[in-house]
Parts: sequence; C-alpha cells; structure tokens
Amino acid sequence: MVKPFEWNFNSTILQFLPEKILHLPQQQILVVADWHLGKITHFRKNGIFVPAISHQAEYQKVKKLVKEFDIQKIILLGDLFHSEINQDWNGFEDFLREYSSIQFILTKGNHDVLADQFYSQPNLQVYPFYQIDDLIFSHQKIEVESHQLNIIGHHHPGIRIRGKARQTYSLPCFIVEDQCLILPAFGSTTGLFHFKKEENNQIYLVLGSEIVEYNP
Amino acid sequence: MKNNFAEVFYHNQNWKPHAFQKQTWKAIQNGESGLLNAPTGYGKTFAIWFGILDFYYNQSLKENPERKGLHTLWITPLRALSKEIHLATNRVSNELELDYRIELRTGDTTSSIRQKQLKNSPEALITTPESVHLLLASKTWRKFFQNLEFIVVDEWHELLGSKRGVMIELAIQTLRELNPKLKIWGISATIGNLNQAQKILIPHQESSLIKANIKKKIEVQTIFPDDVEKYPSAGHLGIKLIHKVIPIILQHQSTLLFTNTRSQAEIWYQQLITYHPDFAGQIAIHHGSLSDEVRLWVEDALHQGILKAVVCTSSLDLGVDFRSVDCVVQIGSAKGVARFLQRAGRSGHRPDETSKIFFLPTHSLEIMEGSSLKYAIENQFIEDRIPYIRSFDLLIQFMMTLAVGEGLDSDNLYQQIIQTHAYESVSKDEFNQCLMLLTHGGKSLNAYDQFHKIELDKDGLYKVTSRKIAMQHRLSIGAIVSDMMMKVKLKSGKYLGSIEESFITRLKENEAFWFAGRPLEIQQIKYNEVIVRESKKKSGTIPSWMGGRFPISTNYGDAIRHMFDEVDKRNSKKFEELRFLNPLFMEQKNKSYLPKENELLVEYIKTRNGFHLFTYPYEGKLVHEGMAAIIAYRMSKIQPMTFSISSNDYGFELLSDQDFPIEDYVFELFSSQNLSADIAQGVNIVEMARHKFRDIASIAGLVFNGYPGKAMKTKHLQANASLFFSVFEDYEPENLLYRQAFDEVYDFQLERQRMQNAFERIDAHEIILRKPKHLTPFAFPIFAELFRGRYSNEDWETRLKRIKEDLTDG
Repeated sequence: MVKPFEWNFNSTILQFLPEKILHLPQQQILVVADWHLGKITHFRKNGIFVPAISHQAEYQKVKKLVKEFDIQKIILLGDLFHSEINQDWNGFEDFLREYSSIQFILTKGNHDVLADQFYSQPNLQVYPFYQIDDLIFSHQKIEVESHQLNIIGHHHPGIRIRGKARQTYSLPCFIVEDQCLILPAFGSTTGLFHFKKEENNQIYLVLGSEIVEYNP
Repeated sequence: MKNNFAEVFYHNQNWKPHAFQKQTWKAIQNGESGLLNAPTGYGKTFAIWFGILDFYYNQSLKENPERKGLHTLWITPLRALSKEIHLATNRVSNELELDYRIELRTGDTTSSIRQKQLKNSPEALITTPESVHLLLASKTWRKFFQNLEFIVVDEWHELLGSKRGVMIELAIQTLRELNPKLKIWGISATIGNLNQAQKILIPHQESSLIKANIKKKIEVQTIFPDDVEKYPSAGHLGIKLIHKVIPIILQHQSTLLFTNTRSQAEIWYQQLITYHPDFAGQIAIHHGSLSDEVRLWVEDALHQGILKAVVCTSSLDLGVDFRSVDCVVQIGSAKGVARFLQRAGRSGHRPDETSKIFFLPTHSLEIMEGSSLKYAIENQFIEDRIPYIRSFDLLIQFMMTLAVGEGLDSDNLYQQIIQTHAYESVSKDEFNQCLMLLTHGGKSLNAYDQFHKIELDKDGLYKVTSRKIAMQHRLSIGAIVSDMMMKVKLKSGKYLGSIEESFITRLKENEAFWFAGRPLEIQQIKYNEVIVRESKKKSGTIPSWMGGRFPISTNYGDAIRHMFDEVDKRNSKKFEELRFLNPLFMEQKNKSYLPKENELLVEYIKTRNGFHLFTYPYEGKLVHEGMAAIIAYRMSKIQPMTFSISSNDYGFELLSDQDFPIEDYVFELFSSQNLSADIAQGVNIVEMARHKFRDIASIAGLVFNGYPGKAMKTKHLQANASLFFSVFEDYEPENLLYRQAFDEVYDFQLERQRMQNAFERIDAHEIILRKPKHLTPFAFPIFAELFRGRYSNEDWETRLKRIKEDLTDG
C-alpha cells in the first residue's frame, strides 16, 4: 500500500488521500468536500441528455476508507447534493442507514438547497461550520483566529500542467494557502477550477494513486 | 427569349450584360436550378435577381394572379452581405417601380418586424442560415413557405466548408419536400470541387452550372527585404518591412492589409501608427473579435473612401465590395491559393481593372511563397472545400427545431435526411439513437428518472412541451460556437468587442493592453464584462485569440515543393523570389542538401541540445504535428525514448536526448504501412477529441450558452463540455456525439486523409538522409519556433509518473 501523504497542523496529522478525501487519523474522521450528488440526474431532468450514471463507485470508495481507517465521523464539507430533490437522495439515505453508527456532519454549501425535512436524519447534523480544536470546517472561507486552520471545499481546485507538446493535464489538488486548506471536490461529476502556484500557497496534486507536491 | 426588366434597367444605367448573366436569366426562365460560378464584382447578384423578377411577373403571377406570400429566400453567410444584397435589389424595385417587396431577416431584425413578416410576408427575404432554421422552428412554417419558388444561396463555397453548409442542406431538403417545384440557385467562387458543390446544393435533380469565365488580371508583387537572412527566424511578424509598406499605402487610395491572426492585426495597426503618426485617424482595424458597431463603422468608412488603410483578418475576406480599395497587402503566408486570390480580388474589382496584391513575407524562407503563388495561380491550383458529413450534433439540433415548431414526424425526417449529402450514409439505427437522446436521454429506458425533452403527441408527432426548453432551443440554433469571451466595454457603455477570459485574468492591475487599435486598461470586471478606460501608456500587451491558425493547404504546399524544381531555372523572370533567395539555397546545399520536388530531405543533427531530426514535407502544421507524433511513436517502439516536437507549415523537428540509428530505419519510419494503427497508438486523440467536443455539445444542445445580455440564470445547470465528454467516455463511449468528436479530429484536425496521402507520396519519393554538423537554413525556422513540444509514447500511468519525475526533479 502506498503510504498516505501526511501534512501536519500543529500537532494534528492531516492525511491527503488520493481518493480526494481528507483523513484525520487521530480523530478517525474523513472529510469529503463537494460531492454534488444528484447532479447528472438534475441535468437529465432538465433535458440535458448525459448518460444516467450511478454514484455507486463513489460510495464504494468511501466505504472502503471507512473500513480501512475505522472511521467514526464523516464531515461533508458542503455541496453534498447538487440541486433540487431527485431520486439520487434515496441512495444517500440508504448510505446513512447502512452506517448508522457513524456521525455525519454537513456544513452547508451554496448548492445544498433541499428542504429541511430531507436533512433531518438520525445520524446527520447540519451546521454552518464545525470546529474540532483549532480546525474550523466550512464550505467557503470564513474568518478564523491566527492559530486556527480553516478547512474548506467549494473551489474544486485543480492545476493545469501544460506539457510541451500541446498536451495539457488537469489534475485535482489540495491547496494550503495562508490559514486555509482547500480540499479537492470528491464528486466524479465535478469540474476543476484552475489555480496557479503562488508564493503563498502549497499545492499537492492528486496523481493517480499518489499525492505529489507541485513545485514548478 | 429576353429579360425585359434587365433590358430596361441596364439601358438606364448604360450597362451591358455579361454573357453569363444572359445565360443565367435564360436558365431561370426555363425553370432550371443551378450553380453560378462568378467572381465578386461582376454582377452575379443581378444575374440571378433579374431572372427571378422575370419569372415572378411572367410565370408565377400569370399562373396564379392572386398569389401571395414569400417567393424568394436569399441566404448569405454574413449580415453585412445581406444588407448589401438588400440595397442592390431594392434599387431595382425602386427604379423599375415594381411591387416586389424585399426585406431583411437576420439577427439584427427586431421581433416586431419579424412578427409583421410572418403575418404579411414580403415577396423576398434576405437572410442567414440560422434565421431560416428559426423560421422552421415556428408552428406556421408550412403556411409561410407554401408559395416559395426560389432559394438562392450566396457564397456557397464559403458555407460549404462549414457546418452551416449542413444547415443549408437540411433547410433545402425540408423546403423542397414542402414544394417540389422549388428552384435552387447557388453562387460560388471558384473552388476545386465545384461540381461536388453543385451536387450537394441541388441533389437528385438536373441543374445547370454556369461559369462566368472571366479571367481576372492579378498583379502579385513580393516585398523584399534589403538582404537575405540565411538563417530565417519568424517572430517579427513582418514588422521589419514596415518601412516598405508605408509608401505603398501612401501611393494608393485605399489599402487592405490582411494578417493571419487577430493579434497580428492589432500589432500591425499599432506599429503603423507609431511608425507613421500621420496615419492616426486615417487607418483602421477590422477583425472578428471587434464589435459589430466598430466593424460597421470601418466598412462604412471604406465605402466612403475616407480611409487610407485597414488592417484586417479574414473578417474582410468575404462580402461587400469597397470601391476605393485599389491595393491589397498580404502579410505572412496566405496559406491557401483560393484565399490569396479572394483577397487579391478585394482590390480593383471592376471588370477592366487589375487586382494588385503585395506579398509581405515574415521570414526569408517565406519569400519563396511569392514564386509559388504565381505558379499556383497560373496553374489554377484551387483548393477543394471539404463538406461536413454525419454531423449528428446538427441533426439533433434540427430534430429539436422541428419539435419546437409544428412537431417532428420522425419517420418522414429520416426519409428526408438520407437524401442529403451530409446524412446519406446515416442508418435508421443511428437516426434512432439520436432520437432516443431527445426522448429518453440516451439508450437506457430509465422510466423513473423523468428525462424528457420531446414527447410523442396523439398525432404521432414529437413535440417540446416545456416553454423554457423551447426558448432555450431557439436561442441556441446555429453552428457557430463562440469561445468563452468577455465583453470589452468603455465606461460610456460603448461595446468594443470580446477577448478570451484567460487573457483578461492574466493581466496585472493597471497593465495596459491594446485592443481595437487603442491602449486600454481595466477599470472593473463584472460577470462577463470588462469595463475599460483609455490608458496613457503607449505600449501594452496584445491579446491573442485561440483558433484561426489554419495550416497551408495541400495545393499551396504542392506549389511550394514545386519551386525546388524551379530553383535551377531561376533565369525565368517570374521567379525573382527564388533568384533573390539563391544565397540561402546555396547555403542549404553546401551545409546539407537542397531537395527536389520529388525528394524528401531528412536531416539528423547533433547539437548541445541533443539529437534533432528535421524533415520538410510541406504539408501544413496540423499534418506535421500528426506525422511527428507517428514518427516519434515508431522510433520509440524501436528504442524507448522521449521527444520534444516542434513544427511549422514547412516541416517538423523531433528532439531527443538519446542518439538513434537513423540510417537503419529511415524508410521504415516514413512508410505508409500500418498508419492507422500507429495513429491510434501514437497520437493523443482523446485530448483532441475532448476539445472538439465543446462545439458538438453546444450545437447538440447539451450546453446552453445562456440568454443574450444576461448572466447565466440556468440554476445549477452549468457544466462544461469537458465534463460531459468524460461522462460519455466512461459510461457511453458508443454515443454518436462522442464518436463524432473523434471523426472530426480525424477529418479536420489530424487531416487524416491528407496525412495518408502525404505518407503515400513520400513512399514514392526518394528519401535523402543527411547528417549536417550544424543547423541548416531549412532547419532553423523550425528550431526557432517558440513552442516546444514534448511527446512521449508511454501510456497514461507511466505518463503520470513522467510528469511526476519532471515535477519532483524541478
């Protein structure tokens, strides 16, 4: 097995997983940003004829990690569900039921527009933001104290690497910028927003089954 | 038989009709359809128009004196051209006091006038392919077109080579079914495949081809630098010769300077003003990213003869004649013989005048093109226009168009489309797959996921029931997909044009940039608008627009290669360019070898940068990129290695840090054997297809580009085509739209057929391998290309590793 990529904030270990998920081994937590469940179905309901696809592969990924790391809590960092209600929400409710012993936290994002009734599930709690010690979890960036780290999603960060023969590769990434850690979007139907390497950021590319620091 | 209308009108103007005009009048009188091949400026509009007028009054009205409604549909590719036709034909109606009403219907026509036209149609509409399809999307199109007798397609050669040509095919087929007596006329400039153009426009019926046979005199002059640069490097865009252009502009009444890219036009405009400040206010700039308002102003000013010069791109290739223009300058390679002729024809277009065109090379080897152009013109090396076929994106769009209107009768539509050239090979199964996309959102009969775009009604017609979807479709009709552009506006609200978003985001604060011929800086950005103000800075960056960088044509390359057989005959006066380049050719000969027309030179050179392989097929940049990838793939099969690739229109280079036993393999590398397999393995087709898919997705209606003038309001429905491409790639790779992206890459980007022909040509050639000690004059411009390509043949996983190594090494 590939050794997970580790990054430390004070005494907290943060593992960047190639599944595009953040793992906090000490707390047995997974952080999943921008899943955008139901997106393709939403498109199809609006007459856009993309193939109907299932989210099964994504659930499998999460399930595998839950088992592997004995996860107790999953923080969903917003944009869990893409838009108005559709049948893909049923799949998520099944998932919650299957993992009833795990505590799910949703920090709402701009896409999470479902009526409150849908979020009222026994093992799901919804917050605008969520705090564990010096880690502040939220969908978009918020003000935090100088000793804290804000962990966010929302941006779908990626890096475009311009190969030299007109070949360009777009790769998702984790970005650390000032007091902010931006997670890649987990959903497989999300695009990328391209960031650039700047002096004040560190970029960690998801490269196949590995995480690699990007230093062009 | 005579044409009384023409006779009176021509008599009043003191004109004499050309033979081809009389011929056309007669053919129309006889009720024929046909294609008219005539150059601009010789009265091709009137050749058709008087035929139609005569037919209307002497046949249509006599047959049915009560007849009402649209009689003629005149389709042009440009709004500006529509206006010109409208003026010319109205002049006839006014002077002869005819009650034949002619109106415009284009994107500029207000909705109240559109409504009026539907209720009380004029006899003729001058319009664009998009507007015709919009009419077909109305519920009453049958009634509107029921008395239509003529369709005229202007500049058919131009439409033919684009997907808009397919829109014409679909529209004609539909209207012909409604009215089998419909007569179809096309107007085309000379192209290589004129007969094919005729058959595509008027399929399954007899038609005439009328040729004007007017030999236009063209004077081609190359602008020479003072001395020969033996090691040519591009990059100065011809600016070095600006001091020779100024007197040319001053000596003529009005000069058009054609550049190949929009940014080159901006640069030339800026440099002309800087070099000769008196030009301020006397010269202008015209290209496709400038607003209609700016362009119309320039066109008007040209008409009035108040401009000394206009720097322009292909935006002025077509259409309207400007009387004052008596000189044309082509800056850089013309890339195509037909294009060069068309541009030359923009000057001195009256029958007795000579067209005058100066060719300004941007590097010394390009000087040779002056000779090859003269040779190509003399020997009529005119390019074909390759029509699009099997454009499923447009078929789906058209299904929607009919469904938005009176309803789609799918069985009938299939019978209709297989009569067109574009869709004749489409099977019923493929047709049904397209239909399934609209009825079920794909192949899966997934009842519960509520997909619906069109639904079957009780009469067996598919209809769009959602008003929102219908409106979005009407706004999306067309085959021209624009890039993600930001609108550039002055604070006053004046709209200057559009620039790619990526350029704007790269600009630093207060950084000046040149656009529309003036220095600007950003004041504010909101949504997709950039508010700018004039900058006081004199210099600034110049935006570059994607696209528009087309390669030289096959015929153009043939003509250049032929020059190598003429080098020895340089006494011939017409090839003064070759004589001028003699020192460069001698240097090439001494350092390496000067190939003949039927030889391919391969140079293998070791420098401190590594091992270079250069070769010069003259097949254009796109084919060279593909060939290079294939040669690289073949070399790396023999011996694992990685390359950088560089190419231009003349040849390409493979650079590696490893030596290769080239003499053992040179024939094998350039063989046409196994080409298909090697393309599939060696070229990154998927990425190319992903890029092509953008247009396809937009035309087929997968991506809605928003309501005009509004920020996107389609909630949670934004996605880029690349995402859809990935979904198709993973879940439905047999999807026809997905496959179409690959077909288009093969046909238009890799130029698969042309590449095949090139390899076969090389098979028949002698390959000359040389190992010069240093870079040669032929090699140098390719070496100097700024763009450095890297190619590796490894599969994706190892490629990832490779990037990783690159990254971690750095």
